[in-house]
Amino acid sequence: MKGHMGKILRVNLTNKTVKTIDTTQYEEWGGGHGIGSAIFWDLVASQLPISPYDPKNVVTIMTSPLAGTLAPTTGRTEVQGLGPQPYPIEWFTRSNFGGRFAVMLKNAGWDGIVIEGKADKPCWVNIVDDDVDIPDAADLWGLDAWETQEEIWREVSGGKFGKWVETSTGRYTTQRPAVIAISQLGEVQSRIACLMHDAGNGAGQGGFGGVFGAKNLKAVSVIGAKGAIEVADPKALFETWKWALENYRGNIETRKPLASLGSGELLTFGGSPTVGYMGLREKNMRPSGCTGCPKACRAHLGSGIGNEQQCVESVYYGSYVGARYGAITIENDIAADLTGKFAINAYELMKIIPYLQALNAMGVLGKGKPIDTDLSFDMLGTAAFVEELVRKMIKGKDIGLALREGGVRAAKQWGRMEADLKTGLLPYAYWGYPEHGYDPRTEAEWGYGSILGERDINEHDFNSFVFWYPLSFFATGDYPISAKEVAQICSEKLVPYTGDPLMLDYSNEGIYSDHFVKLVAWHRHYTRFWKQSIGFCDWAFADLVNNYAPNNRGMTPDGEVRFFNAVTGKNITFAEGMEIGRRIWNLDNAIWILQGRHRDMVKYSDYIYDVPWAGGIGGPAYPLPMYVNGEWKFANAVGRKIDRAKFEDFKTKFYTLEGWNTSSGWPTRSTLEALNLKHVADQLAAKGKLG
Amino acid sequence: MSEHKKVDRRNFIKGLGTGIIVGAGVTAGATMLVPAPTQTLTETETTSKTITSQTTVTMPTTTTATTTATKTTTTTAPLTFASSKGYIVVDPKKCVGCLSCMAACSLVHEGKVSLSLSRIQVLNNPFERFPEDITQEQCKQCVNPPCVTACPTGALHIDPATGVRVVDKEKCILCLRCFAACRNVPSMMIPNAAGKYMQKCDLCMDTPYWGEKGGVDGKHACEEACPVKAIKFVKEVPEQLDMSGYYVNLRSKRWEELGLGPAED
Amino acid sequence: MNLSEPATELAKKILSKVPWQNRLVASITRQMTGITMIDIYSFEEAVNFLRSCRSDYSLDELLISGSSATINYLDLSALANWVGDVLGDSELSQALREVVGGESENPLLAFREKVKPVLELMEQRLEQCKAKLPEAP
Repeated sequence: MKGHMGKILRVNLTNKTVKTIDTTQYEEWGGGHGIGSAIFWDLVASQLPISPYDPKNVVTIMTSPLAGTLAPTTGRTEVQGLGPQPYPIEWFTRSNFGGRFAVMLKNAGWDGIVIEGKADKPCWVNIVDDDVDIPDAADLWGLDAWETQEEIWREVSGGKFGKWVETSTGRYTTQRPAVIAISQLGEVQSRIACLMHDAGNGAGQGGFGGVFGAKNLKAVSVIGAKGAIEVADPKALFETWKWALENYRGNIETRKPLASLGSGELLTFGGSPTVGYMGLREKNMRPSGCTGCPKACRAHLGSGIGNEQQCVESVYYGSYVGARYGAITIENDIAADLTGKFAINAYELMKIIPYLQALNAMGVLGKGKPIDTDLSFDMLGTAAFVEELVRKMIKGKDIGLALREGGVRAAKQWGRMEADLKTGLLPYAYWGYPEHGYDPRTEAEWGYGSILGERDINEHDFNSFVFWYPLSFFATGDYPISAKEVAQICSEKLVPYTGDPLMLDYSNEGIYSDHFVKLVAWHRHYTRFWKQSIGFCDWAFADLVNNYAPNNRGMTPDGEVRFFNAVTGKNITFAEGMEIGRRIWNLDNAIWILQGRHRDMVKYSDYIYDVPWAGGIGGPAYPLPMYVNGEWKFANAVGRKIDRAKFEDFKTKFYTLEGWNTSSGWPTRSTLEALNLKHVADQLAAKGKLG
Repeated sequence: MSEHKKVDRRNFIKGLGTGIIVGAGVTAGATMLVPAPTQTLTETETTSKTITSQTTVTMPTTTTATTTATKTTTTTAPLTFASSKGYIVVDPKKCVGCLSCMAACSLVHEGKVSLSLSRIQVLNNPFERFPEDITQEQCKQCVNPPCVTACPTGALHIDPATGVRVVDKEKCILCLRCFAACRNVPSMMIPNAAGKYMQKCDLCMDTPYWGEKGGVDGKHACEEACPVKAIKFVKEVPEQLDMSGYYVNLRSKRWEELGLGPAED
Repeated sequence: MNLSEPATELAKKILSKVPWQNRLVASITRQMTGITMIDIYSFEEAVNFLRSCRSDYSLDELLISGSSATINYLDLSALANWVGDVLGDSELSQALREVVGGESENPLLAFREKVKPVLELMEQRLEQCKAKLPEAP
C-alpha cells in the first residue's frame, strides 16, 4: 500500500488481547475519520444506543495515508467514539490532535488503533513496532498527563535521549515514544477530560479523557523504527512540497504579502509561524511545529512555560490576568500549561470561569451562598485560581463535582440550565458545547455546521476571511481586499459548488438562502474527507484566500489533490474526495440516528434565537461579507438573532440538498444506496429510522 | 547481495555472539552486538524496569568483542584524508522541530519515508526550555573521519571526486564499528536493517528518488525541504574544534521582528 | 482638561465595586478564539482595561507577534453614561461625553481614535481618588 502501512491495531482491554485489522478492508474511506466511522459502524452500530462509558464503546485513533510523508500539516491523529461531553445525547463524536503521535505510529507500522472493552485495573498500551503490550499502570495512575508521559519515556527507552536506541525488533531510532495520556481528571471519568500528547497536543473536545478513564486506560505509547511509508511518486511529492512553500508561503524572512490582511492571514497556509501562541512572548523562544508541518504555529519558550500551548489554551484566561495585573503576565502561560498538565478542555474553562464569576457577583455562588464554594475569587487572575478549580474537579469536591461534568450539566445540577441558556448567561449554543466565539447569530456557517453536526465544529476554513480579515479592516480602517473578491475567489474554488459567489453572502437574507446551504454542505464534506480523513490541518487548510499567493488565491482545491495523489498514486480528483466526504457525513448521520437523532432536536440554545448578538454594551463589530442592494461589502452583523422559522426552513433546504427526508432529517434509502451504503440503509430500516 | 558477503557476515557474527539483524523478536536483556566502546556507551544506564515485557526498547550495552575477521578484507586507513568539498551546517535555535528534513532525506534516498532511515536527525523535547528543547544533528563530513578509519572493509571511504565520506553498500558488513566510532551524538552512521548496510549523509550524491541534482555542486534535500531555512550547505570547512563551526546562526533581523526568536545568538 | 477634586463620598464610590447588574461589559478579541467578554465591576478595572488597550497598531501589526495586537473594545458612550449614572461623577461623565462624541458605523475605529483622551481623563480621576483615600483597597 502507498501511504497506509497496511494494518490497524485492535486492542481489547477486557481480554488484554491484540489483533490486526487489514487496512485494505477500509481503504475506500480514505483514512482518519472515514476509517474511524466505518470501523465504529461495524463494531458498535448494531448495539446503539449505549453510554460512552460502556465497555462496548469503541475509541478509534487514526492517522492518514499522508501522515509522516512530505505532505505538509498532515501529521495529525483523529480520535472518534461516543463522547460523554455532548448534551443531551452523548453523540458519536470526534477530536483531533497534532504533535508527533501520528508519524510515530506509522513509523511503527500501524495506520491506527482501535480500543474496545474495559481493563479490570489501570493499564496502558505499549507499542514498539510490531510488539504490543498492555502493562499494568499502577505506577502511572494518579499522575498528571505530563508526568505520565515522562514516566513512560523512562520506562520504554531508558534514561537520556539524544542517542540511538534499539528496539526489540532490531531497529534503531533516536526519537522518544509518542504518548497520549490522561490526567487524574480522566481517571475520574470527567466529561471535560482530554487526551494529551506531549505538552500541548490535545484531543480536547468530546470527553475522550473520561472514556479512557472508564476503560481503565491511562495512556497509549508508541515508538517506531521499523515502518517506512511507501510513496507512489517521491519526485512529485518533493516537487509539490517545494511548489506549495514557494507559491503559497514564501520565505518567511524575506517575503512581502500581496495585501496585508491583519491577523486573519494566520489561518491560511501562508501564515507566519508562532501565530497560535498568544501568551507572554519572550525574546528567547522559537516556533514549534508538529511533525510534518512547515507552519509551526506554536512556540517553545526560554522559560519552558507555555510550550506548545496555543489558541484557546493561551487565551482562555488572558482577560483575567489582564484585569488583575494590567497586562498579560507569565500567569497566563502557567494557566495555559495547566490545560496540558491536567488534560482539561480549555474551551470549557473559558466559559466556566466567567460563568462562575457572574454567579459569584450575583450573590448566587460563593461561601455560604446557595451554590456553596470556598473557591477564592479574590485570586481570580492568578494561575493558582485555575489550579484550585481543577483540583476541586479532580477531587470531586465542592463545585468541582458538578463542574467536571461540564458547564451545561453543572448548571442543570444547580437548577439554572434552562434559564441561563435562555439569557445566554451560560453561552453554550449547541449540544452542550461552549460557544467558540464565532457566534451562530453572526457567523452562520460555524453555527450551522455545529448544530447540524454534533459539536462545536472548530473548522476555520471560512472563518479567516469572512471574519478575521474584515475585523482587522474594521479595526484599522484599511481595506486591502474587498468582500466581492472574497466571494469571487470562493466561487472559483468550492468544487463541486463553483460559480456561486452568493454562497458567501452573510446578510440577514443570505444566511437562510439556497446558496448558503451549499456553503454549509461543502464545509461538511470537505472537512470530513480532506481534513479529518486525509489529515490536512485546520490551521492551514482550506487554503482559499491567501495573501501570499498569486492573486490572493490559495492552493485549494489543487494542493490537496497533488499531495494525495503523489503519496497514494490513486489519481483522484478533488470532487471525488468531496464525494467520499459526503459518504462519511452520511455514515456519521446514520450513527447519530441510531443514537436517537431527529430534526426536531436540531436546535440551538434559546439565547441564539432570543437575544440579539451585542458584543459589549453597544457592541463591538462582527463584520462579514454581505451582498445587500446589489453591492458587496463587509458589514456589521451586530444585533442579529437567528429566526426560528427561517432556521427550520434552512434545515429543510439542507436536508433536501443532502437527499434526506425533510420531516425527520434521516437519509433516504436511495441516497444511501447511491453512496454504496446499502448495509447502512438496511440497519436504519430495521430500526424504523430510514428517511 | 553476493554470496561471498553473506558468508562473511554470518561468520563474523558467529564469532561475536548474538547477532542483531538476524530477525525480529530479540528478547529484552539479551546482549546486543556492539563494537568497541565510544561515548555513547560509557554511561551505565539501567534499561527498562519492565524487563518481563518483550516490547521494551533496549539501549545498546557493551560487550567485549573478539574478532575472527580472518575472512574479511581489511584496508589500511590512510593517515590523512582529502577534505570534503561541501558540508551541511545547521541552526539549532532556528529549527522548529517539524522533521521535514528527515522526511525529505529518507524520501529522496529510499523512495519511502522513515525517521530511522534519515541521515539527519532532529530531536524535539516539548517539555524542555529553549534552546535545549531541540537538537539538530547532521554528519560533519569530518576532516578526520573516524568512521572511515574504523571501517574494516573499506566500505566507508572518501569519494575521490568530491571528498564526501560515503558508504559502499556492497562492501558493508554491518559490523557497526563506524557506528561506535562516530564522535557525534547521536551517531551519524545510520543502520539500514532491511538493506543490511550502514548509510550516512552523502550530500545527496545518490538520490535516485529526487528530480534534482545533488552532490557538492547540486542541491541538498534537507536544505530544500526546511521550511524556515535552518539548514545550509556550505563549501568552506567549518571549525573542527568542538565542531562549533557546524552550528551557525542562520536567523536574520526579520526573524526577531516577526517575534519568532532572537536574531543574535 | 483638569478635573476638579472629587468629594470624599464620590471618591469612595468611584473606588468601590458595583453590583453585578451595574457592571460594564468590554471585549477583547484575540486571534483565532473570537471575542471574550470582560465584566468590569469598578472604575479601576475600567482604567486597567483601557490601559491594556493598544490603539495604535497598523493592519500589518495585527499580523505579527500575537498577544500585543488584540482588538479591544469598550463602548465609550456607555462608559461615559456609567460614570455619571452608576458612579455619580457627573463632571467626569460630561467631560467624557464631549471627548467621545456621537455614534459611529464603525465602533472599533471610533474606539481607537478616542481611547487615549478618555484614558487620560479616567487616570486623572483615579489618581485624585486614590490621593483622597490612600487606605482604600
